[in-house]
Amino acid sequence: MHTTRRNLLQGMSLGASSVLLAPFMNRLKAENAGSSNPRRFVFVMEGNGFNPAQAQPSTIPRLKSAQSRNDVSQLQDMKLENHSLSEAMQPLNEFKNRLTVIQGLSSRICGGGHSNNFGALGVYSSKAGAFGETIDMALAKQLPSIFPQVGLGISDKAEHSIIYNTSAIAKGKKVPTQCQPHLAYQQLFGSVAEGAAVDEFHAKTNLLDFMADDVKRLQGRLNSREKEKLGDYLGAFEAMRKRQSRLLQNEDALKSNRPVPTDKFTSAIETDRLEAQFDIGAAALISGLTNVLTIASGCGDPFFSIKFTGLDINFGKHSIGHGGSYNGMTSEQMSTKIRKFHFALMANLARTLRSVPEGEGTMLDNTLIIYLSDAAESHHSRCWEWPVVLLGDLGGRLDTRGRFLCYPRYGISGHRTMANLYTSLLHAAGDRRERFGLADPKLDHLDQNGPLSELSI
Amino acid sequence: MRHLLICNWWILLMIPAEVYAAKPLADFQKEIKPFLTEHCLRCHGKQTAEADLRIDLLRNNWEDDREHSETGHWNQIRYRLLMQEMPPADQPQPGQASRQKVIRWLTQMLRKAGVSLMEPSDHYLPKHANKVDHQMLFDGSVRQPASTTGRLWRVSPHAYQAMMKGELAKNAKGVAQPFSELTGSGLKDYSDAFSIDEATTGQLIRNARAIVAAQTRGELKEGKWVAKGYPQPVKEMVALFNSTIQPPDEELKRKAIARQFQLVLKRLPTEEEELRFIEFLEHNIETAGMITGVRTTMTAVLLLPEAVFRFELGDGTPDQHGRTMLAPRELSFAIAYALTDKPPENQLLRTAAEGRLATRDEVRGEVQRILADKKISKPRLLRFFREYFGYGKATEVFKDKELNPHHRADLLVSDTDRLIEWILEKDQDVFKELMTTRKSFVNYRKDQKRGTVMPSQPKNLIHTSYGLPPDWKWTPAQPVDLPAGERSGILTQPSWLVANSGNFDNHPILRGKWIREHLLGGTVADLPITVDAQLPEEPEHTLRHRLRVTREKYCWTCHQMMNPLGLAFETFDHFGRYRTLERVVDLEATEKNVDKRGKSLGTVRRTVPVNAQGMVEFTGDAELEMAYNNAVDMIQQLARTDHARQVFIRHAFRYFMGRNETLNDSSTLINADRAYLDSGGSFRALVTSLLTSDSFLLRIDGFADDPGNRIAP
Repeated sequence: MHTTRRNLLQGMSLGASSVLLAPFMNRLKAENAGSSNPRRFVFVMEGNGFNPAQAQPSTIPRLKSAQSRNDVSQLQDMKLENHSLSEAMQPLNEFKNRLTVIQGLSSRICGGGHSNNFGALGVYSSKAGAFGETIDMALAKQLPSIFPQVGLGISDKAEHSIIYNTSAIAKGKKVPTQCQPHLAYQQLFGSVAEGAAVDEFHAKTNLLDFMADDVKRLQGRLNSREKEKLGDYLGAFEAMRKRQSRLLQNEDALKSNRPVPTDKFTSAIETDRLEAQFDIGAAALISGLTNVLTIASGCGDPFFSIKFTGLDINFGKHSIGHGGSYNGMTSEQMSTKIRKFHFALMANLARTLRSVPEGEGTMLDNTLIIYLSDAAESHHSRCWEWPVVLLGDLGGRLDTRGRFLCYPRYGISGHRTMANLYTSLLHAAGDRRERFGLADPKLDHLDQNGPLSELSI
Repeated sequence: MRHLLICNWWILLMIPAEVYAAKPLADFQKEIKPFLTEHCLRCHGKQTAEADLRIDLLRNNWEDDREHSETGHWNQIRYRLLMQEMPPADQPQPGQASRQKVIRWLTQMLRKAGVSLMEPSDHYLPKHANKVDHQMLFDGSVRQPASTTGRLWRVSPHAYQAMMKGELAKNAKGVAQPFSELTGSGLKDYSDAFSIDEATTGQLIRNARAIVAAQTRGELKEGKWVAKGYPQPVKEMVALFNSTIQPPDEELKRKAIARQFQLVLKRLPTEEEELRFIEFLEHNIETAGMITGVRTTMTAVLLLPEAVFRFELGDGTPDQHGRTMLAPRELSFAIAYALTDKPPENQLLRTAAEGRLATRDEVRGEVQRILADKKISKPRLLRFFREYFGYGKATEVFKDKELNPHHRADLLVSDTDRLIEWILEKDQDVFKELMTTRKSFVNYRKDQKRGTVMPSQPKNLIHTSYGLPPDWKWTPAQPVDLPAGERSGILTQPSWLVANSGNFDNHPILRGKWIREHLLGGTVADLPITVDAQLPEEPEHTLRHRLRVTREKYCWTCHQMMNPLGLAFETFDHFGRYRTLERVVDLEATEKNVDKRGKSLGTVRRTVPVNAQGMVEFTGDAELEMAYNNAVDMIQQLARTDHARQVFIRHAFRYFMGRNETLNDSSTLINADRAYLDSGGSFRALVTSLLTSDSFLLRIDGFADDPGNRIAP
């Protein structure tokens, strides 16, 4: 075999060298894939379920069983251009030719409930905690950046800052969601925030070195269990230290793209905070801080029962899920109003990315936004089906331009699962594994491996 | 056995090996085989072989099983028995003693065979605590010594919050809570539940920088540091800024570092620490200038592991069991954080520094002193009851104002807080009082500074939730007696009932689960993945009737452990109001209730008598199996049992130790129970016993190196 520098380096992509070579390796991988454009994923997750009726284009009748479940027997594959989006999805109208609405995917292995927690992005039981890697973190490994992934969100309690609800690097390794915009801003843009000085930056580097050294000294003297506990603290200092030099390299981009903190960053109104989180997330993507953004709006149990007072709904999502009415609005009307708000924020994010040139197009061309709920199809979900909306085609790596797909009902030939969708995302990111998450034991008669072929180019 | 899935959790056993090593092996033919034949063979025999397991083919032959094919099955059997998953709940249950005997035998055999024992990955969490055999914990049969593994315990969110509000940080801007606690109901802070990850560390750094910025608030004007705002900056730090000598004099550096150590860690740096910090300070001044350099160095003190973890590693010469006592300084922090949210106060610190916190009696003296000192705030005591009962959750349950405009969950919670404080002030028969008192505070507020009492909300009719008439006149002479026969302690306080209710109805499942776990010491499995947890919408039927869907065989396995207990509380509506009649929709009358044009004139309801009768079953203890007429009857019967009291004591153990009990903690629990009974039911005596127990005081295997090499000076 002829050894080139390229495949030599690829062979070295394990161990310590991988950290230093990661950006370079990433570029090489991109070149191999025929494009040097970056790839980005944004997960927009809304808690408390996404009713399939709210995803269904209003001009395509939804075939459903007596239990209101998807009852399609053969794959429906239609062009969206010939149809009208649902009432809830109206804010995405201008992106109709970049959208794909997917219905009929199941993920029964997650179990359901008020939230599937980590299982929603991990394809495993909602009760299992952080049982394994979630899809956003799997993609982050494939698309390394200064921050592997940025997790932002809002919670049912305004005072919550760091919560653990949707993402995990591996079993037992939860990844946080920052629920306070002003703290997220400090975390991401603190090094170039107003008033930050060069000496502060150097001093922080010193501090991180010193702390890592101090923790190591103590760690060496502890028994194994406590050593592991302290290992996370040490790992935190080491990871931040490594990031320092990369932040320095990106200083200009950070300065020119940092968001301007407003009252919304510290607002008591949840819609303000969520809007701020979208702004911060967009800035993080544009500044090159990350390639994977997870925005979790009231995801995870017990964080989901948000009252969207900014939309004049002083009524928790839990109560809405139970069919309650408020101020003359039915639960369905409130749910649609809240959903619309989320799609409006998603549309804004897409517009922002579209306004940033990249290569011969814009950032949006190289981004895929995935909208879903952590609770699948309903307030008390059972994961028979899991509506998903995709915006973008990741630089032409996915066939997602203006489509409506509805897969055959659970259990019959042609039925597909969320694991297949996630495998599609992995393939598009360059990870060619054949399956993601746990298989559904009740679908043993179907092939649960591989991506959704309908999305493949 | 159903659901005998292959499990990947191969970690060390929660029950210490020494317990079993001291006991003779059970006789397989006489004691083990009959158990397996009676409880397992029917489903896992030649005929059915569920989950591909044939009990009859398993051999009691451990030496030859080099590939661990059979021991793998034995391990599974032990695990399912331990987790009380097998035999299924709808099958005849073995007694706890015989179950434990088989578990014990399997534990011995598997360990002798060198097999790692299966446990759930989250075995250290509160939800698994009840799996330790109750009878063995209290019958005195376990004689192995108690202790806790040497540990680091992340500072609790409450302690961090207290620090944020304290002298050190109250003037800092932008300090935010970095720590979370266990979610869901139950105990919130366990030592093994938390480490500190990157996001949390990032927040800790930002907080530390904000605190140091406040400590050094000001600016340099013409070579002199001019303070800005309040309070005055830390003078030892300012002295560095004002130093005319560059680099500053060694003594100035030493003083500033020592001051920060004292402020943050309540101690002076060791010689080694001082040297390292001076070197760090000099490096910082060199690379970032004097002001930033000093601030960064002081920031580091706030981030030292000792500032964010509690150190409980033990010190001194190990006893014959390898246990060492917590060092005096460690003890002072352990005692302080057990009772308060703050580091040790000066007297406790002084006692430790002077070497007067080295024996059990000395610890007892300090614990009793702090418990008796009314000037020392002890929020941890009330918090235990909040976490045990979970009534604080009432504020999170949405209720429709139109259904009860007087409902104010925050008032209900506050009233229950006050009732518990009142019971603790009397400190007699505390558990019995908590379970049976008919007294209650109602809409009660006390101005702590003035000592005056008043209604929390003068115009609110919240007293109707307690069964008092609408025209009831508020009185400062509280607690008041609630109507006879309607209430029995905390579990019939409206706050607890609302906390365990839905938005529009009662929640017998939650209520029953609480009784099962917190009074009976039992467990209920997690909701399986295939269950759609919804009741039929049938407003014409009572909740008891609608719950019939849970009687399907698959559901009933778990629901029989909860529903019958929770339905005892049907004598209350979901606002906690007492009732003897329940309103349901009258479909027929509603259909006829139309105007001349056939337009509906509204829903018509009818009343049906409440049925709150039931049985306490599946406890494995004859003392607890009983019939009851309603919640008051059930609670009062249970409150009289030793078992329920001991389960309460187990929860207190968990709260104050920050971990689940093991069989080795038997002596600690027995002593705590005895101390409680001997003192006439004093909670203070119970806490004192726990905080002077071997489980609290002694550590095993904390440091990896020489035991003389300790972090705590």
